Amino acid sequence: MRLSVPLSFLLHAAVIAWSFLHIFYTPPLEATPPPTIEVSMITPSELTALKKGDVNSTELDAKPKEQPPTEMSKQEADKPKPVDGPPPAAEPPPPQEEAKPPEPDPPKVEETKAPEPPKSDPIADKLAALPPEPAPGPTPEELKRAEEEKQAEEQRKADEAKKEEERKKAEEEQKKKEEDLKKAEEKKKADEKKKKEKEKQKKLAVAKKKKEEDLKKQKASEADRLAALLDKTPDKRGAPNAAAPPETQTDYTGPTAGAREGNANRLSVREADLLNSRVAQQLKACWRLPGAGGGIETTVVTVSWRLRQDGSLEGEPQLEGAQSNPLYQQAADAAMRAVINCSPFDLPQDKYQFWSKITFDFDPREMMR
Amino acid sequence: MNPTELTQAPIDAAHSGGFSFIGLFMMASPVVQAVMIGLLLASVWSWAIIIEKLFAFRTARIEADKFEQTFWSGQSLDELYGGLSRGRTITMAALFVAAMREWKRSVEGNIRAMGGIQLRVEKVMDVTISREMERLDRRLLFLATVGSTAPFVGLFGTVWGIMTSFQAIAVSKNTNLAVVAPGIAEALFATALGLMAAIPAVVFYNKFSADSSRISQRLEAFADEFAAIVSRQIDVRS
Repeated sequence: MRLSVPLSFLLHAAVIAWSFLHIFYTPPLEATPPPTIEVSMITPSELTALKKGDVNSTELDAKPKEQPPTEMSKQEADKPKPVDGPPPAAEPPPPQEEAKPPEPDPPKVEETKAPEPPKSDPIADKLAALPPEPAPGPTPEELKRAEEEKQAEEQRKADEAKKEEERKKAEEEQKKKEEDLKKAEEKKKADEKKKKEKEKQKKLAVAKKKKEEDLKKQKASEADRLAALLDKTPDKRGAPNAAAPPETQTDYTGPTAGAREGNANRLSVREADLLNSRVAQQLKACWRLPGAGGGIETTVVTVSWRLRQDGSLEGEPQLEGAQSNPLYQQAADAAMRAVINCSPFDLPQDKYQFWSKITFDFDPREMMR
Repeated sequence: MNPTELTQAPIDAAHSGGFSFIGLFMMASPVVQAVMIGLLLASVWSWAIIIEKLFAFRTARIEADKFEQTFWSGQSLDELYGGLSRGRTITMAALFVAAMREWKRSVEGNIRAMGGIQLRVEKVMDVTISREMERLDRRLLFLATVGSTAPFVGLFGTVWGIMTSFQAIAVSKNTNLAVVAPGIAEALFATALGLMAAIPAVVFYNKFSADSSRISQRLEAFADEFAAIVSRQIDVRS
């Protein structure tokens, strides 16, 4: 026992000393702080402002990453585009153009490959044919007409001169010769006949002209429509599809000129609520509920009206979703009266674009609180 | 307990970086500290006993082997007794010396008491066996006690420590793990100490009790054999 007790003590001391040394030589546990995540609060209006397009940007649209739009290119590859198509988005066409020349008969290719070129060819022909048609059209007509008119005038003048001469002659010879008179009368008759014929001719010419002009107009409008149709296709191909959200990811994160995704001039929920409450407050003062209203049968009347910049009513307020129910009629009348009575509305000037047209629900349960 | 102290203690511990034995001990509450000290002392004492008993049983076994070898080597018992009676003897040798002493006292001298000599020798040997066994088994009971109670003591320290750490939560109104963890670590350290004391105690208690019963059986066997020898000598002499 004399030996073993100190031995045991030594043993324990050794264990404790070992633990000491162990702790001493091992670095203290370090709790690494978790990585901080930056969080900033954004209101909906700020978000939309962030998303809106930038006027000053030179970048037309955020180009998608190296991912060829397979479907688009396929569709486009099938269509041999005329060379006079718009140059942008030229990526798919070049191979097509390259492929085209080596083939021996392009018209055949166009016929087999695409339904459009044959369609476009007659149109082009028409288009080409149209300008020359109207150009020579009017000139011969006019010339003709001018000539005819000239002739008619000359003849008329000549006739008149003749007439005068004849009249003079007749006057002179009236007394002298009755035969001359007869002659003159005959001549007059002949002149009149001539005149009538000429007028007929004139009328005919005018009608002809009108007809041709109408034809021309029709042709022109047709050409315009066809041209518009023609224009549509290259537009579709050239412009990026802005309506659909871009599926492809982009590297470019800056502002883009195109694809305006948000409207910065948008009322936030709070602002809209405030505006609505101001309208409600002003209407409340003028609104007299019809006596029969109230209860579950309370009819909600939706009225929309336009306002001028100074807050005055522009035109008549209009009922939205009118009903034939007599109760509703009463409520609607009351609502209309309220709008008209309140008519110079006092609303913030800088937000005019949002209250130029107001649609308001006249709900008695809301208003009479 | 001061609430600020409660909340401050874990933070201090965390700052000193001490999750070592000493660090855990220093930041514990006094009750837990007392439990830890008690368990440490029990561990020290039980290890002292273990070491001591290891030597004791080892020597007892070696001595018994050696004695048996010399006893059955055909050496004269008187000579053996003469050689052994002078020094300090243990176990089997002590048994033999005690029996021989009683025999000599009864046979030699003027008064011869041969009547109850068999009975007396057996008695003396029984007493010697029980004395020797008592000497070997002494303090083994402490190991048994430590082995059975140390886990409970450690558990008590743990419960107490967790109690205080829950108080710390209640005071700081903060369920952060940093508030709770040091208290629980400190509390669990008490259980660890209890187990550290109890496991060797139980293991060595079992080992020593087995050794003790084996030696006891050997002594009983030797006593029976020696009784037989004595009985034969009585019959020869008478």
